[in-house]
Amino acid sequence: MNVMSKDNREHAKRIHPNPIDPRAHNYKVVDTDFHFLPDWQALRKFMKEPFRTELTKYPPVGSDYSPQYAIGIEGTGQETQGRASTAADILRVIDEIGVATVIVSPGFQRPQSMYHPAMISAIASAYNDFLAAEVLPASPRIKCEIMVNHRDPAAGAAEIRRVARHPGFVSVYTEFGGNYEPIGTAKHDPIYQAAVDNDLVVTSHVGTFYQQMSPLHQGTRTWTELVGISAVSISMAYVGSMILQGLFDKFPTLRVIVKEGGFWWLPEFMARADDYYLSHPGDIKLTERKLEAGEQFLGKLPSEYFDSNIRFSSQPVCFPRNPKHFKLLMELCRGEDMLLYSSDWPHATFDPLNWAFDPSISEEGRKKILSDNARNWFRRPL
Amino acid sequence: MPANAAELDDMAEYVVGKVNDIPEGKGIAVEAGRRTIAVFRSAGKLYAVANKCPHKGASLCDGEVVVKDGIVRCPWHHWNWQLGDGKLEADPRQSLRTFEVAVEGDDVVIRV
Repeated sequence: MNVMSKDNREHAKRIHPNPIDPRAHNYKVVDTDFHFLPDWQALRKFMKEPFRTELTKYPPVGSDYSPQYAIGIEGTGQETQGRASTAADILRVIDEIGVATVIVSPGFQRPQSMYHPAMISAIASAYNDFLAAEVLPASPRIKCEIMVNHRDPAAGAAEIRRVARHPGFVSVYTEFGGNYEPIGTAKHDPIYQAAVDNDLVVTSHVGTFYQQMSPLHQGTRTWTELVGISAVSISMAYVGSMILQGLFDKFPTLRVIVKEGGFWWLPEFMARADDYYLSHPGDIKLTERKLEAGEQFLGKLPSEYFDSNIRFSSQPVCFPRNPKHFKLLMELCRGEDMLLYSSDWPHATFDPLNWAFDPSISEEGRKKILSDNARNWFRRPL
Repeated sequence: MPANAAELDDMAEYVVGKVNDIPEGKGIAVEAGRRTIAVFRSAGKLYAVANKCPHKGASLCDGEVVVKDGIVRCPWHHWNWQLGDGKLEADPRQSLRTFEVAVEGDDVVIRV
């Protein structure tokens, strides 16, 4: 380059820019999806025998396509931003990412990916006891999801009832994905009953990266197909099972959050479900809950259950190429009411809250997305 | 006056540090006027680019950054930016702003 006279030069100051929007601190942000991975040996201390002796390492899970091929680095993509193994780790990280209160997900445990029911239940109980003993006492800023074995609904319900009195637990964690039936089916009612009895939210998080073994996804080759795209269709199928099989007619006060399943699909889902339902309602009465209740139809149109019973965690917020379309999508999907901010820290899909400061979002909407929607939905003090 | 003359008049040079401040495979961020610039060294060569990743706003030179073969990988989501022309490896239609950088004596100088 043409170098200027040295007299005209300034010395640039070396900095470490904080990439998180500093305005976050004005909003008492609630992060509704933050993944916590206790040290296996720390968790093991809370296991009952014979598991404590036998489970010397984490049991194998049904994940057989690693994102390392896609991102060129070792590992599962679940520790890309770091790892929180203790309450102190959680508090340090949430300060860094602009979060006031965090709802910790046991996502790393992949409970439903294990094919050993007794192990899942044992690990879930140990995890919940570990949280109650070593994590929740550390700070009121940390809240937790209850880990359950949702493949054994009776055991899952028993675990909810065992720990639900602790005010630090604010929801029940389940997963969508895999080759087992969607969680909206009636056999899962013991879990929903226990959640409703304790006024707890049920979350349904993408997981169990076994989608390629489900008939919907045979033939996937890439991480983008598997997690980026398949997760969306699976979450739609799960939500469909909840609504069309009468879950919310049986449990009208049940509050669900769908995590990492996308939400720009809402207008398509709503219009399609309503139209198909109105044209073909004859089989609704044949579903288990409707047989039990002796009812013919749903209590309202499928699209109307979102407002009363379902919310979505925000990550990953997908911006369309034309920024103006973001505003349109938010309007179409009622994003300011339906979205609860989530970071997904520390996964490779980490979503910092900066997007919430997009000028197309109203100030009231920003408060709702970052904080109020979560506080109103979870109801337990956050 | 050419359309960009005013901009050129506003350009300034900044000393960002000494040559040894930026070792191979590493980068530093500096405040140069209103801009935050990242200066990297890859295969012996220095590069200066806008520090903020256009994807979701990460600081390109903090965290688990990988600088290799003339590419910086964003620590948050692994978007690979070509340091020479600023283009995104998987979609060259997207780019980071690049800046001139030179070594003068022991000083690394950028023009912003």
